[in-house]
Amino acid sequence: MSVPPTDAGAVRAPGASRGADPGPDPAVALDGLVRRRGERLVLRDVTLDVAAGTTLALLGPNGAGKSTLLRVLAGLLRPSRGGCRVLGHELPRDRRALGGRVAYLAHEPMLYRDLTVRQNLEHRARLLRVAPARVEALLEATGLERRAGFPVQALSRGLTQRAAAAATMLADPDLLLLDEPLANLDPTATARLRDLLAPTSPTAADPTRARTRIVAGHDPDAALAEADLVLGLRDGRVALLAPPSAITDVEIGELYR
Amino acid sequence: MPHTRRLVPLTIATVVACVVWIAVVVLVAPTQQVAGVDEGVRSKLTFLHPALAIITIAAFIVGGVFGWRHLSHDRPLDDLRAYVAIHLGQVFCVMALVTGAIWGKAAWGVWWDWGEPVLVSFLIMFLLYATYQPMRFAIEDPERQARTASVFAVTAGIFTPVCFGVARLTTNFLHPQPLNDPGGSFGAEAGLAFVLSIVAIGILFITLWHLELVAKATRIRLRRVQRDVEGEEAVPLVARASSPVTL
Amino acid sequence: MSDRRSSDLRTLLLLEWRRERRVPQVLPTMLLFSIGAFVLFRFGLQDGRVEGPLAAGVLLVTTLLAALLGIGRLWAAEEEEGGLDAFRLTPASPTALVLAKALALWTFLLALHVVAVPAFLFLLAPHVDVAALPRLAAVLVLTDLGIAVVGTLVGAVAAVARSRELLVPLMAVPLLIPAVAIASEALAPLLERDAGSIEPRWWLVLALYDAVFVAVAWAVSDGIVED
Repeated sequence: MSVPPTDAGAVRAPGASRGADPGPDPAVALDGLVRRRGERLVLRDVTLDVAAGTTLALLGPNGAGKSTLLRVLAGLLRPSRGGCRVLGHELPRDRRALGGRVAYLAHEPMLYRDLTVRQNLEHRARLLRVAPARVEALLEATGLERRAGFPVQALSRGLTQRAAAAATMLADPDLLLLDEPLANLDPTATARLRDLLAPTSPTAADPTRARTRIVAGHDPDAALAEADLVLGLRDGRVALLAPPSAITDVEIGELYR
Repeated sequence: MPHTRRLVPLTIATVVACVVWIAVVVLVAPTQQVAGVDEGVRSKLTFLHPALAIITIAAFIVGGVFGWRHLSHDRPLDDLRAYVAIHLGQVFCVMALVTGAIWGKAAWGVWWDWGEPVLVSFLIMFLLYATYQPMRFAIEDPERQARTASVFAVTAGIFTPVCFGVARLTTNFLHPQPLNDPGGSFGAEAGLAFVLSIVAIGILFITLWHLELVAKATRIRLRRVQRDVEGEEAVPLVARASSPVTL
Repeated sequence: MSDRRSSDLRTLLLLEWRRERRVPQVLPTMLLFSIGAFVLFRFGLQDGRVEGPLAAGVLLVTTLLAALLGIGRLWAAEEEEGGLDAFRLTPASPTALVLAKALALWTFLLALHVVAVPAFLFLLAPHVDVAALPRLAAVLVLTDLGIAVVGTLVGAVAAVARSRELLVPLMAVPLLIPAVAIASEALAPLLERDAGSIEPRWWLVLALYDAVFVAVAWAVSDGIVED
């Protein structure tokens, strides 16, 4: 396995990898991406460039391929056809080089239910080669300090989602893939997570740099408010790709028709 | 289309090899003079059963090799190749078990003998490979199915020789002349017939492997063309795959 | 690089032990099953005192069946709780994960035997010579390694499938028949009334069996961990 040069130290040097990729190289570049599940086409011919530092809102009805697209970008699913470059690495060939730079917050929390929140985070931190101090910082940022000793299965839906978000942010990722991060959360939890997962967050190594985010969701208003670019998927095809200012309610309605 | 061009020459070669093999076995190879009818059956089976056994082992190992290639190069065709090799290996395995039992009945008067390492190993391998399809088709995602099946194929493919070695060591050599070593006391004609049996069964296996591979690949590609021409929705999805569907 | 991998291995192995300590599942199940089986044999064999090959068979088959229970759980959390997805998003090595699973299962089986073998000797084979015990232990250590490695592979394959619980015994039993056969040959003389000695070749064959499957696990680990 080859390890990217930026991961040379046991703890990633803050900001080391950022200066290396200046403007022109987009964070995500898809060219005619096709993803099949067996015989079924889940993504058809998706072409897309996401510049580094932008937030892309991913809209579309259930089954449109949003989660699949996120999993492909995370390197968890292979593209069946077409080009797929993430952070300058060709997928699926170089997916190992991404290790830790892409984070994915999925529907399911991806935490061990029997273990405590802290144990889960510490374990993940060790695999991500992140300093243990980061775990404490994130527990504080998510307001989970008092519940860090609880097993994950004892947590409510909202608290579990906070713990999952903390795990997502451990390695201070360059690309954030969020699958309905704020679904079914109460207003307090929503506010906390929104701060944590924001493009520039106070827990990041370089608080001024905006990270690239791709956020899937069902709430067009919220998506339009925070996104720089909106991608609408329908039946696995790109149905809509424009900045929020250029999108009309009719187009949104058409997408969910 | 993979391997289509080879089908005709392979079929001709198979027919020739099989005709020569059967002719040599029936006409030339000596029937041992020691006993009556049973000895005749046994002698003839000497030119069938060991060859089936050897080709079965080869099939399982080839399945493992293609499984390995699939894991390292990630080409769906390799998974299909491994699938077909293992599938045919299962058929040959059953035939080897049955002919082995008949051989045992003719030679020692019993259908089954725990002292015979080849038969015992074949039973173990039959049990193991019998789980290949149930395992495979219990995995819904086609890519994971292919990859997991390849892990199985590699593990089981390496297990095959291990199983034979261990069976040989732990059975207690009741019989001085094991099934797969008939050349010793036979003459040159018998040796020729024995080699011919392996060649003929081997070519038969290769031809069947190509045939099934081409048939499956054709079906998969036909469906793809149909989807391209008539549109994605016009072609119903296969509800339950009976063979690998990614290609 | 190998330094990285061994630290991953340590992390992952500690995780397995920690999970088992927090919510003991595998060990108590295997242990209770083994003791239950020995008691069952005691009655099934009618005041059974077993010796020689019969004793070896009872001990090994019980171990194998107990191991099946552990194999079924080994990869369950990775599939059900998304542990494998989370792992694939880290730069950690797949080989480390597979080896950690195998080592974890190995230690569980060894821990099982620390209790189950004395129970076996007490319940079914009180005649066994104390002098034979170190060799008995050594054979079991090697056998457990084989079971653990094969079990890890089988568990990983079965975990992906819908019918996980049904597939584990179907696949594991044939793969482990040779291990049980060799170990039985090795153990039988030790469990006789007058303990004999083990033929040297059984050590070699058992070690070879283990080595082959360790190599297989190493080689296919990428295929197990990838999507």
